[in-house]
Amino acid sequence: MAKKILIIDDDKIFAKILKDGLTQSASKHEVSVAHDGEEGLEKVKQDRPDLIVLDMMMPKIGGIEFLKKIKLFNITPQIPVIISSQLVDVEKISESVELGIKGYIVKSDFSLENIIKQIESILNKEH
Amino acid sequence: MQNALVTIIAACSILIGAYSYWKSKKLSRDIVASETELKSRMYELSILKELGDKIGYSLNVQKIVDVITGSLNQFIDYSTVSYMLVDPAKIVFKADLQSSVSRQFVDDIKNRMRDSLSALLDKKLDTIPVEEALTGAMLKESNEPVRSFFNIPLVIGGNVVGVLTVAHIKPGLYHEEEMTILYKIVNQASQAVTQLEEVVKTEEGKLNAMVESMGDGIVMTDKDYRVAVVNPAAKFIIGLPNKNDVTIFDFIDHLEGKFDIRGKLEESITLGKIFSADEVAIGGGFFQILVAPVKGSHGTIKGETVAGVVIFHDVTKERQVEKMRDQFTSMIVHELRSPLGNMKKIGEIMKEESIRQDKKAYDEYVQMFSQSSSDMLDIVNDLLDVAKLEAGKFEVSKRKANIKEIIEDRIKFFDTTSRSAKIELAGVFGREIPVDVLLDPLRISQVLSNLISNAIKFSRPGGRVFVQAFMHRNGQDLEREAAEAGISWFKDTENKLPNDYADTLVIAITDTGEGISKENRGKLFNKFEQFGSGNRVDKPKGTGLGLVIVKGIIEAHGGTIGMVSEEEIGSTFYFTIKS
Amino acid sequence: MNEKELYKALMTEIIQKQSVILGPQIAILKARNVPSLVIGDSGHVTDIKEDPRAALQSLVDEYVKLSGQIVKNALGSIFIKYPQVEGIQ
Repeated sequence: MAKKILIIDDDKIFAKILKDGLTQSASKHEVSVAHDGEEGLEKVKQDRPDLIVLDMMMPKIGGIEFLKKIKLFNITPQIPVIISSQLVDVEKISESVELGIKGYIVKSDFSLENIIKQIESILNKEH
Repeated sequence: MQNALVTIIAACSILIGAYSYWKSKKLSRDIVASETELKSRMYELSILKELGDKIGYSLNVQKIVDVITGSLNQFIDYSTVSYMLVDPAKIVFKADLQSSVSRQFVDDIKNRMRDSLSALLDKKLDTIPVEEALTGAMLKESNEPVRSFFNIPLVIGGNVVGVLTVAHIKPGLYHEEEMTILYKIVNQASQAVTQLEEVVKTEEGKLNAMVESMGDGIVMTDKDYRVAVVNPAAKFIIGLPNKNDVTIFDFIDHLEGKFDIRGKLEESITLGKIFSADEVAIGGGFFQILVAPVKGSHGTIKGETVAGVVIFHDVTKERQVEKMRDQFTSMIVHELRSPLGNMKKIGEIMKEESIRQDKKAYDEYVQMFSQSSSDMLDIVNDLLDVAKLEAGKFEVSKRKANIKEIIEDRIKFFDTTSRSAKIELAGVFGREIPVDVLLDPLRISQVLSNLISNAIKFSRPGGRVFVQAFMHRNGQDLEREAAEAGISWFKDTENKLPNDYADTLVIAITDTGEGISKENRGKLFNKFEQFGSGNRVDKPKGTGLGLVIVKGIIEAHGGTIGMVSEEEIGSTFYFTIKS
Repeated sequence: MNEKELYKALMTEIIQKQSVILGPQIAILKARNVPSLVIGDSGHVTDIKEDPRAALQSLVDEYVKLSGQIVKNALGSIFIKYPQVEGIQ
């Protein structure tokens, strides 16, 4: 089933790759992209996506701060968030888990196929 | 006539007899004297040797006196030998009875000794309590009083510490010679002790000076955890730089349970263990803490643990550097992984039939691939440049080049970028810029690119970025020259270029961006520190090595680089090149 | 009191004090080493045969030789009582 997915990542190339992958998948998802936390928050308010893929290392608003901020939006049900980064930062991951994330991606290690599979499975669970 | 002869012979023989008698008496006296002298020499030597052996560096006066009186009976006859040592708090009286005497005898001795000390010190001593100890023969009922005695004052380091007394019930026993020898021996022993005390004091003084000046914090305690030595560094570490009587409790309090100093000292002192803790946080810094036992090095205390020592070694800086290095390394890894990861994914995608059919998509991916590999190459080149700079192996290839053209070329290069960021980008040139300047065009171009892109990045839409260049002539006022060239920039009040600087080309990039806060100004050209715009929490993209390399390039040209900024208004980055 | 009497009194006091400090036998024995002094059995100086000042110096020297400089400190309080007598080495 097609879902609305929001990718928040300042790596424009990665964002494009993932967006293409998701829009061209069997589900043909609707994907929007934001390149920093502020823009991301705007798009969350506007589009109400079904899933957010959030890069943890971004300028202006960092990943953890973003997670805290969308909680304040008080959207129910809570939008599921998958965090992504280049490295495994155990501290950040556990802090994010406590903020309710649904999964995490190590960008350079996971293949595009795997990333899309994980996104799909979480989208399906949220039903 | 015969009568006269007889008289003379008689007189002679009497004379000879008298002389012989007198001579032999003297001889025997001489023999006795040398025997006595021998005995006294031996006694003296044995005392000094025992002093050396038994006592070592522990200068307990009582021990010393015990040694002297211990072997006294080899040398002299006595009923009692006793000593009295005086202390502000108490008087110690010890008497050794060679033969039984009465209680009155002992009391008599005691009083005489006290009187002697009073006379020596010119002080009344009756109110001070006397601690008495008797050894040797038992007391007995007897009427025998003290009939012979003499006192020897005990003087160490110029101070009267006590008196030693030899007494007997027999009268007229002690002859001047014997008594004099004993005085001499005691004097020598006292002098030896005094000298030892001096040595100890000097060594202690040296040790204290050394410990005082050490940068590491040092605390030494005795076996009962009383602080014996504490240096200024240690007091500073626990936040009590001016306190005079620091105790172990001050340390326990200030360590706030982060380090069990008393427990570790106990382990060290009782079990002889050495203990070390790597990074203990104390008052904003980090310290490596070492606890070890201190053993006596000779004499009676050789090998015995006499104290414990705790050493605080400041590793705050080292830890900071390590932390920064770690952060730097993860940042680099992150930056390299991004383009690499993307290239890998693009490669996968481009294998798919569907993409290969779609020319537009295919071209797009080729472009993305190319961009990623170029990004990666940039990062690697930056890393290499920084490595060369640090190894002192960074070189520039200078040749005559047209600086105005180089600048105009860069402005053109950034035209698209500045337009999309809605920022005006323009060049301002002074009149006398030479056509050919000796410089490395590629590297100077790199410098300009870096500074221009930063200026654009940190400016808001509607802002302006100017690339300004003019000649500075020796002796002219820099600011006036800039003004004449129509250049407005942020005036450098701190690092002003001296007006008698040689003829120099000055190039500046001025923006109307957010400016740089005071705290960040120092970090600008530093490899490990990077900062970004305003209130960011995580690190921005990029390696932050750009300015480090810019500085390296300018310095390789023999020029200087500087920055002036006003927060919220803008900044000017400027550099000079010798023309 | 004439000078000789002064010195006799001073030296007697010294010998008395040394008797307390060192013991009567040794104090008198050492005092008797000064040839110009005539000393009674109780330690009184009954006569000074030659220069009193020299005799005083010799007396003090005897005691210093025996038990060191500390002896001089102990005599300080005696010398104060005889201001007419100049300082002793």
